[in-house]
Amino acid sequence: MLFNSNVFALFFIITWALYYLPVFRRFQIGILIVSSLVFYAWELPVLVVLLVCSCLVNAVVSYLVIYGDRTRRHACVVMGVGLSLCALAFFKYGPLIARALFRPTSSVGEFLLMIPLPIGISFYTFQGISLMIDALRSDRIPEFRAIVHPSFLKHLQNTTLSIVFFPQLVAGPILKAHDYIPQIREKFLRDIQWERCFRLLIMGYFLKMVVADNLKDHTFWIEYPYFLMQPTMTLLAMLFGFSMQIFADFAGYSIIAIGLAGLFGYDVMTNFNFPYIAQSFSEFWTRWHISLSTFLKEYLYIPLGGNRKGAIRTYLNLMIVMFLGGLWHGAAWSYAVWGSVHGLALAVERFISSKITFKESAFVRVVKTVAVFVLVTFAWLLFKLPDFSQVIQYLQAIFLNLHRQGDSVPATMILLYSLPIILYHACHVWRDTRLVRWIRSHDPLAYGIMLFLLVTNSGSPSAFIYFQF
Amino acid sequence: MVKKTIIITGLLFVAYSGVLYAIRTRPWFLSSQSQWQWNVSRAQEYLYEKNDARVVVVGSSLSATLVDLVPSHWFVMAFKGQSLFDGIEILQRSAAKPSLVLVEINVVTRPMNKRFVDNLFSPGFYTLREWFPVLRAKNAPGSLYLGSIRVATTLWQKHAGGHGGVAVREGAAVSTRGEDAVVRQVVGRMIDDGQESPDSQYIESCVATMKARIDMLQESGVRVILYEMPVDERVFDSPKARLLRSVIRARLPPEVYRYLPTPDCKAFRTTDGSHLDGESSVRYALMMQTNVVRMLPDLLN
Repeated sequence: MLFNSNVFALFFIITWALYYLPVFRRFQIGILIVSSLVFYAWELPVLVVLLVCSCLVNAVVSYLVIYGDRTRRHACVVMGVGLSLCALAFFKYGPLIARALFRPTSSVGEFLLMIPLPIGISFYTFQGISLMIDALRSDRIPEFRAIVHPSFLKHLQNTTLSIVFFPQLVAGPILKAHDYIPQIREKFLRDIQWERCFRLLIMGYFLKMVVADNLKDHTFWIEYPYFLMQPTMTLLAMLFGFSMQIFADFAGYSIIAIGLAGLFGYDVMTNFNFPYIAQSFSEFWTRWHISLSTFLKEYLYIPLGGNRKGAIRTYLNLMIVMFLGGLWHGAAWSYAVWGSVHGLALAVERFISSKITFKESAFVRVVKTVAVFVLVTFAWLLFKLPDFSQVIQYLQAIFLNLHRQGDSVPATMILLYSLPIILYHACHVWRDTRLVRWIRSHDPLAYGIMLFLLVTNSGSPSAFIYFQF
Repeated sequence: MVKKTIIITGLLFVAYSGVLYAIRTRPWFLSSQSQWQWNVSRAQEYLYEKNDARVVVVGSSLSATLVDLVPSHWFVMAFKGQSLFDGIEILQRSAAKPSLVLVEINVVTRPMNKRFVDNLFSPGFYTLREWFPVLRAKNAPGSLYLGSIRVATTLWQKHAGGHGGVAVREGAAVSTRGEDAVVRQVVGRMIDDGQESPDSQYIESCVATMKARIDMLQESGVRVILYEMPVDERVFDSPKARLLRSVIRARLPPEVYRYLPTPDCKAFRTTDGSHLDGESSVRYALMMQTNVVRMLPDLLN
């Protein structure tokens, strides 16, 4: 069910109305759980079983960790995390394993290739892992103990809601149990921050429906074999456009999720913080898909030793974390390569900054920002063209098609639809200038324009890019 | 803040409607932003403006090269990247029906784009677009922006002594004569694709679906003529194309269904092996009209 579909609008209105009706107030959590399961089941109902099983495993393990046999706590968590990762591996990476290890015509190969990909499995698996590990860490962080209610049924209810909550179920932000579960209580209409939710929803839908959906019509030609005939400038413009598109699509989704969650009284973490102004790769990863990067840092990088075991081990840890982070995105080696590219960039950056100190000046800051943006943009090619050989051909075409002439329409339109993203970042960088303060004090004008364009200039509807992860 | 935003949106709506009214006699100020918007614009143009067309041509991007080359009482509802099934479905769901539908049979294995068609007839929005033309795809502000740039570029080039090189006519194909190595590569790939063993079962099922849709059209009083667009002769003669042709003629025999004469592909030029170039499109459009009038003289006017 797409957030920008008529059926979702109807679904949301019914759920929201029932949620706040006084007569149903004590069933609020149940209403949200049931509606979230309906939301998830809309495309392929049978996969709800997997989601429910995941919730059950997470609830049982985290409960046993706090209230069960204390000598078996670690074993419990290892088993719970292992089960979750096995399910993820089976459903998500089954086809990859089949292609790598088996003949497509063999019975095992055929079976693995037929496995459906449960939407959102990467996200809800990580949320469950976060819950189980946080329960284990409650010895060191006492406030984490409060995320597991003494009553198992109540804990199961809270766990289920935190995992299946529909605004963030299929594409994040990845909610951490200790952030979300404490918020679960009765909610009232008077507590809704209407203006905040209104701004978030307009911004989110604008980024998705006007920016991303229009950009996708022009970056479509990045696909093989269409890019072969495109001139160099168009190839570069499309790459730039895809960089803008993936941000608008994903950030748009996250912002919509935050706005929708707000309408139910829940605060969900920000997932993007102006990533394209980053002056380093490490800064980029504190601004892009923040819920994933903080998860990987907290639950993988730091347990591996982080930067506490010497330089070489630090570089290795960065490579491992980013390799797995890349693979998390999709069952194709191009995603692993993408992750490895970022891991390598982080390692090299760390090495260089330990040897050389750059003089801080506006020029150096601009050069760093542009360098990070260019490298990140080229790396996105691995997302768009999962076949690595096609990535190489695309890069070759950039150099070989200099003589080709073509239509300037794609570049013109890409520039037009990238402008909001550029302005969005610029307004943040220059937020203390008089012009930007004036723009911000006349917010209704900006939001009025966005709403107008939402109604009159939306692109052809499509699924969110991150739904495939 | 919420109220102010909504008021500003309303004012922009009214202002933009005024702009569209002012340029209503200058359609060149609106230019499709992409292939998909072009498709939606064509479909909406038929639904809201041209649903009294007596002859409708349905097909894929191959037939889209005929847009603007047919008489005013014809309408080419061929969609780039899609197929005849989208056009036929739109005709089925529309209240008004044309006298004749010309069905392109080059691309039969591409299924209908259900989301595309459902969005056109989305409850509520269908009626809103009927009442408020500003909500139609071709009137999007982005289209006005692009159209204005095209007009400005053309005027500037004319002023600078050029011949106004920006192609204002959309879909205008530029013949590359296949000299470019990449174009040869694309044509070669198309030929290779045609040499691959076709999935005959799949082709049979697609043709069966096509037959069922055509029969439904005819039952509602619409006459149907099938036709094949000329393509590169090597693609035309590929095993896949020959199989498709034979299956179509077996399921829809020429004794029962009308066909336009098969074109001589050697007489036409393509830009990429399948799409006719500008000059060839003009000749084929004329040939199509002549053949149709010969078969059905009552459609002369």
